[in-house]
Amino acid sequence: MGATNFSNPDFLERVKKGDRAALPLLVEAVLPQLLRAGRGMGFSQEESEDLAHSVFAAFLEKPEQFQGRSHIRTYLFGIFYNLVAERYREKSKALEHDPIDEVMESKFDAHGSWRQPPADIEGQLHAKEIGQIIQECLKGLSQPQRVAFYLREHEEWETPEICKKLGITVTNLGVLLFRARNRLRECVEKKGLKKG
Amino acid sequence: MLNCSQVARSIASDEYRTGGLLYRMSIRLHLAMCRQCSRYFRQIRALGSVLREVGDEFPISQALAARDRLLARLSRKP
Repeated sequence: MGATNFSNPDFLERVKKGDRAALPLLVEAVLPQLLRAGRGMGFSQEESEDLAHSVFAAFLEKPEQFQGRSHIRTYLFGIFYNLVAERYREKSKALEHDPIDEVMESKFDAHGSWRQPPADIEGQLHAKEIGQIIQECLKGLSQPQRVAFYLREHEEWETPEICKKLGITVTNLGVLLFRARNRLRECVEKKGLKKG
Repeated sequence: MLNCSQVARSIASDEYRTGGLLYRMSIRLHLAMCRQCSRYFRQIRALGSVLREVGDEFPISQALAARDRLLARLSRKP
């Protein structure tokens, strides 16, 4: 286990030919990463497994399309992101109203200066339990916000890449990121102030 | 001159990353002079780096169960 070299030409040849015995090795190597990405973008465990299934099913339908020019992981993730983008488009036709906009507006006075400046949560952001707090706070984001935030911050995609993949404008991406980050920041601040 | 509200919006929406050089400079200038906005900027940036570091813990047992479910599904011919 774990010793399979996925760049090995023989292995790739078997995969390309649709050798089903090579499949468990491939699934074992890539599935956890696909599920982690799915969960990171706010899909449930079940939805993430569904997505992963569709990735491998699509791959097995036309294994010969994989030319071996990119890493097999990259290739499968390419299929994965296309599927995510499809689901994303079904789910979010328009930007819905989000109360975080009013929360942010209330933080500034008429001149645009801070009325309620950000609390000092720097210590918290470096604390050990911050991972847990963030996971908890991420649940408060809408799915489109999570997808946008994940692609930007975790995958570190650039703006044009995200907009193209999700089929949204730069302005809409800006709104999603603005809301995602402020929701998270607010949530971390609140949880921290409660503790402190 | 940009005010704090505009700077905060620009930071959180990534406008400052995609804007032109002069625009980015005016944001940097504001951040250099404004403690509250620079604190906000650091926090927004830290959220991203935390996300990259923590990831999602994925227990081995859960991964194996998911793998078995997937392989079973794939082996069922439609």
